[in-house]
Amino acid sequence: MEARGVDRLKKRYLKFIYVTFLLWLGTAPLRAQFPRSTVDPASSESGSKIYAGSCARCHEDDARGTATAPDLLRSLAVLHDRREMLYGKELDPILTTGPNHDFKFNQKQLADLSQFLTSSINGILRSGYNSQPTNLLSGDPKAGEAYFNGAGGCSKCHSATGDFAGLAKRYTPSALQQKFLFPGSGLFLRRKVQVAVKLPAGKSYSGDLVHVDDFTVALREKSGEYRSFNRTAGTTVTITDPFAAHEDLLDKYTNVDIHNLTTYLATLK
Amino acid sequence: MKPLSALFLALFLSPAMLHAQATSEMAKPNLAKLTDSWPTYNGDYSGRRYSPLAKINTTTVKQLSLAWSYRVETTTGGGKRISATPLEVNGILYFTVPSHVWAVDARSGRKLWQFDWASKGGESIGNRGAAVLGDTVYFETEDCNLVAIDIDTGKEKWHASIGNPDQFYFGSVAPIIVKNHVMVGVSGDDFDIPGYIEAHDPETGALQWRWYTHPNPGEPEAKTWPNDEAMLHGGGMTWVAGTYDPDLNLYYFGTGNAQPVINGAARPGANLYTSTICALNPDTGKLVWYFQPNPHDTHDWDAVQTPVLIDGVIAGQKRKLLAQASRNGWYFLLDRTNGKALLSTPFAKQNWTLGVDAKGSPIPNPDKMAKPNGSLVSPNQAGAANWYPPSFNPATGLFYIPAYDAYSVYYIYDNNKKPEGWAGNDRGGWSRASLRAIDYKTGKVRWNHQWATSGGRSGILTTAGNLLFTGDTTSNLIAFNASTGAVLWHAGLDSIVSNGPITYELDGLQYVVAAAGDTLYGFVLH
Repeated sequence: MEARGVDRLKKRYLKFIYVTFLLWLGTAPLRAQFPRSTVDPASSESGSKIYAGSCARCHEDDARGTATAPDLLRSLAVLHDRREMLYGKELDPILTTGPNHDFKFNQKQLADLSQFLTSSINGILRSGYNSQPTNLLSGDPKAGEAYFNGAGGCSKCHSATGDFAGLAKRYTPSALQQKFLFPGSGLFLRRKVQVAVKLPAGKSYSGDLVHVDDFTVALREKSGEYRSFNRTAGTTVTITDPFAAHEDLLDKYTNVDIHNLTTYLATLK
Repeated sequence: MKPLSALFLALFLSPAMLHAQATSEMAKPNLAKLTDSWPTYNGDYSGRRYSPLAKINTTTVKQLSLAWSYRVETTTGGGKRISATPLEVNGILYFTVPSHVWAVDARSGRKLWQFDWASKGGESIGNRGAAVLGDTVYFETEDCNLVAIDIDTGKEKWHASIGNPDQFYFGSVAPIIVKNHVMVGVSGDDFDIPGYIEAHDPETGALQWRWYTHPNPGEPEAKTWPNDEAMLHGGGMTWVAGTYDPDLNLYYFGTGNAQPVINGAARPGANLYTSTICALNPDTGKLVWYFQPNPHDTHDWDAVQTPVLIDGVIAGQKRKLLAQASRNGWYFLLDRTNGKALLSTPFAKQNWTLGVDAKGSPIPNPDKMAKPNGSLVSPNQAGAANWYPPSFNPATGLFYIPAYDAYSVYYIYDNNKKPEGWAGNDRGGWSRASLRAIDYKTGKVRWNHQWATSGGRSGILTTAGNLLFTGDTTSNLIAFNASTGAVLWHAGLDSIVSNGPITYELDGLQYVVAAAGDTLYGFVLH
């Protein structure tokens, strides 16, 4: 063999090793992670039809079992099928010859059924639920309005016809509820915490709080300049939380207040 | 020895081989009483995390300086955060992250060996540490194995299954050695499975017994569930290492939340033994007594915080006590001989109870359970306390807690007649973090240090030097005067302190070691 051919083979071999190594790198973390057992929606949809036609009569529409047939979401065989992504391979003998079972599913049907059950299990895990609150507008809007203008003190800073005009067009009811309860957290637009620092010599600085702990404090002035200070003896740090009034309300709200206020704010369209 | 031979040995003897020579002559550590090492998860069996070492004290702490650091370069799954409490045995530190164990020189931070488990997949939120007995290091893997490692070579001796990962069980708990038992807890609340605790043979790994955290069908406590199906799928994981009283021969631990999580509509009743402090005979695995801090848990609060053993005096009488600052915001002081509550009182903001029952368990307020349209509850799901280890200092009589005053809204997402798994969750929230010192007899706050920001997940160490070490909510390791709460010393680290700090003495020098993210920091007083 010519030297050039040998080099070409060497290069191919090295390329193969390199690609294999990259593939290994790519799959290693996936293998190591908590198995999420991915689902193909089309296959799961087909499986749901097979389930409805063949299984739901005994195991209930949602696969959670009945008095006479077990909960399939808690079935060890189904859980094993899910984790190992066996696509029904080990479920087949149960479905074919298990007690009260004489199904003859082909490989694709088994895979579809497996995908439907996997999807059903994934749906009840911590991150599985469609975690949108429901029934949020069940409160009394009139009572919510009275709370807004009275006990809640909301109207001291906000106005239904001013800054809150069209509020419900900007936020979903669930976002509205979270926003008035916890305006300082979450993904919503936030006003920044303000800080004033007075040094022992008397000079003061103020601006948006950037960092604070027991030893240092940092701020950004209106000019955009960043400043940090050691909290040495004689240095005073005054932090103004723009949401302090909201935090005070947390100790006072009843659940009824919250539901009424949510319902009222959702009328501000 | 010829010079060439000496050179050969110096060049080619591995750190592990040198380590083998060093440890073969060492004595077994005493787990009942902490001296100058840190040989088990909480230092000793009591769970106090109180060291008698005093060279570093309120006067000398200002001279504490960094001796070394060791950064973890390997991980499996969810990050490289060291949440393990390292063990210090015969001059070597042993610590873990999910699926990996290290042996590191406690004087220099030099790696001796690293053990890498080939995980088949499991939840990797954290691993709380290892156990050591003789020449073996034990730890749990995320894919549910107890692994025994040769302490000298770092090679596997054996492994034994501790659960079925198909059912979402996973390993994260630091094992505890009690006599000839390796005590093992299990984790996993994604799914409706029963919790349990196991004892394994330290030589072979063979299962000695398993105790499920639910009653047997037909027992009186089974009436705290609507039916056996709910009870046998009712949760109660054993997330945190327990404590042990050698005189009473009782092993104490807390259990996790009831399942399904958040929505308790289909499991009316107290749901024993979930969210319960249990006392077991470690030789038989039989339950001796129980006390439930959190009946009918619908907030994922568990009751797994370390049950700290205190030999105290109540009304002039010496008492064997057990204290827990529970995630639900309540502090409990029990007689650890029988589980009777002597005190049940809040230590943090909480709004979820209607008082306490005759046994001292809080009575849940139905209005503060999750609802489809939201229920504002204090504390939030992260809790008024969590797994971050507390500490008790017998010299001050103070129980120290990483405490959180917090609110969030709990929602039910699954109104199915048979909810399963995570049938709801909390959302959003407000939280204020503090270091809180309470009188162990009364639960009254003696001093409180509110952190400047929220967050934090650091454990606490106290010492006979009247010091308390913990992390703040940013990235400082701080030493406090344990009596007054005055800040005495700090060191800025690369990340937030992510474990419980430890202390030990070698060659007359006292060290303090804490983890922050992927790095272990060793401080020493010269």
